[in-house]
Amino acid sequence: MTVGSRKYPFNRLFEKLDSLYDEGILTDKMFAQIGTSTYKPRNFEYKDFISPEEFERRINEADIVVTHGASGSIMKALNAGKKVIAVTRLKKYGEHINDHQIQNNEAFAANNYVIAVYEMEELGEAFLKIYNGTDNLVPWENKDPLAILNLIDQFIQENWQ
Amino acid sequence: MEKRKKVHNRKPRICFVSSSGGHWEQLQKLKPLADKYTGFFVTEKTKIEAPLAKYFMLQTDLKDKLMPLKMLWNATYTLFIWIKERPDFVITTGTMVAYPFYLLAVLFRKKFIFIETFGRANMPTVAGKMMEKHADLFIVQWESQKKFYKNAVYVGCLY
Repeated sequence: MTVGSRKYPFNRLFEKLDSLYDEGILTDKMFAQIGTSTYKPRNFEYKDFISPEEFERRINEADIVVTHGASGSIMKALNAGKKVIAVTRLKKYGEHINDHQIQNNEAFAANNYVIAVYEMEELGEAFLKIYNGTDNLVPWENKDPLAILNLIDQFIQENWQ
Repeated sequence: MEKRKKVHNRKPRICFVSSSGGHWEQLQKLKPLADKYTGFFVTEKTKIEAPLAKYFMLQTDLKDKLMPLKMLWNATYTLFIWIKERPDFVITTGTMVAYPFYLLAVLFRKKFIFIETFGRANMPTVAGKMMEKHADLFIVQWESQKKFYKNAVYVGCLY
């Protein structure tokens, strides 16, 4: 579970996760990086910020990754082959400066790479879909991760010599 | 007689600059270019370490009340970096922190490369719109985002 490094809290998400444990929907062990969120989880382990090394280790250990809508976090989890629930930070709750994470999650969800969650009522259902195998998620594959790098390299060479 | 094209006897100096978070994640995918040429990285100072970065800007964004003051500081610091490093190319994945570098690249006629963040598939960004006009290479990471920019190129994504 991660919500990124910027200064916007995401209390709504952690409160809901605690509720899902209280309701018995969640029983597995969870770790969360809560960032600048002020709510302190009761039912699962958390830290404010973790190093990139710990971040990678936590993702590799996980079966399910719950992440905010930022592409970096989503892609780390997808590239690690994990099931991803992407919870959108929304402007109306003071969670981001605009609603671009809606666009972001919609793009991923439209391709069935992630399950997108916008309101917390949807979060329990997202977990249940994964637990009972009805999530319809497809694996992410990047056919040419060096395409942009090579394009820029070519551009530099054409404009330098 | 055609004027002979200048042949440089050194590697080009490349400035890699972006804000924090996902923008910084994506920018770091270009590290092989920094190694192949002479590169240096600039990003925002946050609680998360960024060992690849040589310079750190004050973190800010469009909604930050202190943005004008922070951007003034950032712009001054950018000028210092520019004088010290004298980049030949500027590459950014956004966002506002890159704007002073964009202005200097335009002013000093250096090549400016903008990579639209992977986090936008169906709409443009404020930063993209601000820096599109004088970008020498404008790259998007979703085919669907090409329609928002005049000269956008799509070849894949960084992840």
